[in-house]
Amino acid sequence: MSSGPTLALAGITKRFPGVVALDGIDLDLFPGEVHALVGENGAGKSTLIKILTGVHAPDGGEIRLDGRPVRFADPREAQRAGIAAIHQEPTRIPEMSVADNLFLAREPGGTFGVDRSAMRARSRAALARVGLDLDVDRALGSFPPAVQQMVAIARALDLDARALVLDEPTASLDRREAESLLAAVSDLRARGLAIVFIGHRLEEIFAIADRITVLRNGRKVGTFQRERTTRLAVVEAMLGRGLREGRVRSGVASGPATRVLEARSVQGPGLDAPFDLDLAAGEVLGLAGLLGSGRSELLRLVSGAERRRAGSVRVGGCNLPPGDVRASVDAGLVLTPEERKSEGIFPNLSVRENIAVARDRAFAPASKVRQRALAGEMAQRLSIACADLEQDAGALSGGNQQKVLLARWLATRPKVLLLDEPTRGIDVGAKVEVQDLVRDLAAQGMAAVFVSSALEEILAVCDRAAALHARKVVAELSGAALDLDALVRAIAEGEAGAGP
Amino acid sequence: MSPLGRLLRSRALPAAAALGLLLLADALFVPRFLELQARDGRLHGALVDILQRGAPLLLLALGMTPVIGLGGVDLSVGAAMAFASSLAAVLLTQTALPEGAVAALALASGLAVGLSSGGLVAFLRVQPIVATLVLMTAGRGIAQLLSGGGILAFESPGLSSLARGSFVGLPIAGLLVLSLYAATALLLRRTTLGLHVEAVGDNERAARLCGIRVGRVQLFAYGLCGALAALAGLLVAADVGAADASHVGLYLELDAILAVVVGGTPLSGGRTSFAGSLCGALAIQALSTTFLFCGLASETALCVKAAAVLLAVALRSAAVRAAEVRA
Repeated sequence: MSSGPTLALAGITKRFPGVVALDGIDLDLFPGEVHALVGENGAGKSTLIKILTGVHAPDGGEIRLDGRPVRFADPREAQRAGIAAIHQEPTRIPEMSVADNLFLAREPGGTFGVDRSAMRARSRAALARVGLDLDVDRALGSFPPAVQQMVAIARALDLDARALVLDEPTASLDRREAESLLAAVSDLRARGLAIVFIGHRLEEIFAIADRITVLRNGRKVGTFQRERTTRLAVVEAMLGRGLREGRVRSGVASGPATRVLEARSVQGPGLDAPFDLDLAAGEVLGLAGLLGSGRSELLRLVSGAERRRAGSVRVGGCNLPPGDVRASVDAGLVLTPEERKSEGIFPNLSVRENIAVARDRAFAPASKVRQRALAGEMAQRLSIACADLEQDAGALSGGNQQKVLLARWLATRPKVLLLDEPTRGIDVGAKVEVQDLVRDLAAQGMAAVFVSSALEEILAVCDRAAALHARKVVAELSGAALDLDALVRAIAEGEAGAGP
Repeated sequence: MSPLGRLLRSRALPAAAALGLLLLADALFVPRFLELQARDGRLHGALVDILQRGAPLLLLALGMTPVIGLGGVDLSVGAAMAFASSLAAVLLTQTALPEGAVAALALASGLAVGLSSGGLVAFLRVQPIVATLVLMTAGRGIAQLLSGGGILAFESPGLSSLARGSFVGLPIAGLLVLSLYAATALLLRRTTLGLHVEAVGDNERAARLCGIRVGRVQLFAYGLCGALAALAGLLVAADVGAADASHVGLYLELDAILAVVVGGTPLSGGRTSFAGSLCGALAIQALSTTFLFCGLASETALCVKAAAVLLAVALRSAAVRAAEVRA
């Protein structure tokens, strides 16, 4: 085997209408190496993977396999060239047997259709290569997710893959399963495979990767040698420094404000430790943390979208029952979810209906005229750009959809807004508008929790900030202690922020 | 948007056009089809017949509309008809309950069938087609057990006048159904309920996060559907003065689903059109009445009906495509 890289990307560029998804990315991958790819949502990881595996063709740049330039017309060609991708939720068929899944669409032939015994034998051999010994006739779905991942890897190896792309392989695994998968990955590395590992959990990345490449906004920020870098440096690269336009917020609460939200020892799925949350009228609390750190889970537990196991949530002095969104909305506590399209917008309902839908209980009188007046007023106040209030909301741009969601809740006159990544995936202009709106609302006495991956945004919008690390709230920063360094440190290493 | 533009973009348009074209063809080619005669203080003729004979189908289509709008479907309505009519027949022949009480109990039985399907869908998260298939099988089974497998004849002047009587010359059954359409449409359009139904049908997760009590909306829709089906069963049984558990409402659920879908409520949910369902059901009934009028064999009638449905669906799809091009 040559000592050069198995796979080398040079200057890969990919444009989609209106956005440059990848801008001149260089990346190389050596045999016997685990190369981690990290970055926040929208950094370009998935686009890069799609180019590597032949789903997309690059608009510029070159892919070299063993030094020879290649172009993949489709995923099948990439697979034939020896590049296999294992996705987070791979295309596996849980009802079919392990052997069927291993040999799907390439079953060994016999005199009468499939030669089952040959398939079983070859399945056992393929599984042995990844250290598995399973009953290959059992349904794949009856095995734990980690085993299913390993079966997918076994299939890839059986297809003579030399480069493996693991796309968040541990995302749906618990800690023990994740550890066993990492051990298997390190075993594959020892056998000379070249592995791209995409992940969010820095602990895992630092445990398994030889090199770490950080992407941000479609650009490569840098490639780090694992033993010569720190988590702090990687997180800084992911979230971006040098964007310090200075704090805009004073961070000093003006006078004694009334407390509107009081969460105590809340516990539930997705978080490893109980947390408290306090919010005063007119206050904006930033919630910072990497993907998967538990930001969304925290908001969902507070809002009742997810049922909490223990703890209490009080809004304006009234206790909220667990897992009851309606009660939260009635009390004035509302959530705009991160997944705007799948959990927020009603794509086939009109802008008017999308705005009016949450305001009234069932059987309350409704009038189109009043709804139109409400929607019209909101559209003007939030400058929602739509041709017509009767237009389907699904056709709006991301920024306008986000404003429609905000309008929906503002129509209910809430006390507390829980905003999960309200500016993600929307254009710069809309981003600033949403930020300004949150500040305006706070000035009018509304309280908000603002989740964002962009730390500069948290510094610009929020009065205080809490940091999450590994599914725990690790720090609360306010006043002079709230600065970028402290925030980055808390997010990256789970340390309590720089105290006073 | 101009009134004309709104009319052209209405979901009910293809069904209304189909109904209109059918009646126009009848007027041109079927002698005396549109003729109305006043006899014994009531009107007679094919048009009156469509309204009266079509009443059960119209009721099923009405109840089915919010259910399909939710993204569900109710296959149990035919069985609910059989159940309610058998129950009414048994109560009338074997107890001394007054007719009003019998009718109320029969309606309650339909409500129970509907709430059972709704409960399976809302709380056990069973797929609507499976949940209502269970009730479809169970409902007809219970109906047959109740009636002992045979046809139960009964006498009920009150119910019979509901099914066959007339008011200012028009059939009471037809008037009742039309007023129920108006009432249901008002209830759903003039309260937030209609929007909640469409919101759940369009994006159930988002509806939950909006604070819409999805389970209650589902219970309401399936319950209403079951109660209306029971009323349809009462009308059918009272019309002939007997309950036939094996045949009342058989396959009628399919016609009702057809009427709703032709009427512009998409099977995937998210939108409802009561006017469309009304026109769709009327068109299906008008087709049957036309065949009867022309003396067409029922086998031929089925084939012609299939062709007509295909045409209506194709019209709808062409309309949808045109709307997409405009957007």
